[in-house]
Amino acid sequence: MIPTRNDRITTSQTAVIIINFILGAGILTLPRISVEKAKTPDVWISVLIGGLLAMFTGIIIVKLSQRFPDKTFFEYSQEIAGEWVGRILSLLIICYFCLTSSLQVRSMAEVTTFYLLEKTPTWAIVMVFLWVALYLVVGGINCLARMLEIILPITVLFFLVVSLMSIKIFEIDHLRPVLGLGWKPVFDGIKPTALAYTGFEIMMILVVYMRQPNKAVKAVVVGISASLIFYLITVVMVIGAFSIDGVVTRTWPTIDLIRSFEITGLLFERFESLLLVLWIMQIFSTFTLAYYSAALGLAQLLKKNIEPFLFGLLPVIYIITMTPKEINGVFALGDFVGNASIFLFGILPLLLLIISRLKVGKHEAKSSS
Amino acid sequence: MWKTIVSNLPAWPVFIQAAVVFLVPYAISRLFHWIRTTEEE
Repeated sequence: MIPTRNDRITTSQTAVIIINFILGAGILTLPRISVEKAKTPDVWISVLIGGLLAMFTGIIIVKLSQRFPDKTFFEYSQEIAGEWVGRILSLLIICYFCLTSSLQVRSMAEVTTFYLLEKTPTWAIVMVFLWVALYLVVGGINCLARMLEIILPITVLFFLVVSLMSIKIFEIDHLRPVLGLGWKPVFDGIKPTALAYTGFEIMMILVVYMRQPNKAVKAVVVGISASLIFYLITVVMVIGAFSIDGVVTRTWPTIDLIRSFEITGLLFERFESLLLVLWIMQIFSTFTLAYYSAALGLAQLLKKNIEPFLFGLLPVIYIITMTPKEINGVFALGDFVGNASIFLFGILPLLLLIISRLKVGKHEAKSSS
Repeated sequence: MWKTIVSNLPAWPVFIQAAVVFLVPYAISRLFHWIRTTEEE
């Protein structure tokens, strides 16, 4: 696939896309999920290690994609693993993107119904969300990248300001003792925290669109580092405010943190509505990226135009979104998607990179003899 | 196995809503496509 000139994106746009894709629904549940596993206040160390692991995996994906600079994963997987295996792998990744986008929409609908629009039916919230996303995505990757460039600074700035305002209820003792139970709980917490960084897999598709594909590693490192800082601040502030016992009993601890304080004298005294509006924008960006990736995958797999797939995927995503019957079903779907991502983006790219290197080595040995 | 799959399927209104999710933007896109082609002619 050779993108047109209008489809090219800069290195900074690539980094912005990665940050936006990583920072989805995870930010609201990460403190609870990681504390549930680790059961110590040292979760912030797990967040740090998880980020480094994600960075390593992201670099592997970039190195793999850079070997095929004019192809996306859906095209080069067939070259590396053979036509049928490549098609099956591509189909698995398309399913993953569909599930991810549905999960994001459902999380958004749950939180919106719970905190903002109590009596609005879920279908009304979801439908409008899907239609607006379709309108954006029809414009292509460049429209997406430009919108994300607007969304990211607004969300990051406001989120950090609101998080830092919770310093009033922050207790440093809730984070102590550091490594009181040793390194084992920290390692237990790595899996859920590393899963919160899923999003770098978008590089399987993005490298081909980059104006300077040789700078893709830089984009991944910047993207994951920014997300790491973001997660670190969130986890530290939430545990510092509620302690680990308080975090595990809350479904959305990050929202509860913002709800738990008021600042008088400012334009707003309570900040949760503002945070939720910004967070919905963030979810929207994660959703549109996953949705676009799934449609692009289908279009490239079947060698057709992307537009029919953008329309065709809407009802599929809607049905998957509405399938979990209650919130625990949504979290179970999230766990399933997370576990699938370990294989699809942790193990698979490394395997494909090794196979492609071996193939080149064999080819070179043959041509020299 | 079959019972588990059936029990997890969403209720029938969801499928009608899914059709609406598809039809509304598709109809709008066809309408604008038709307007554009008649303008060109």
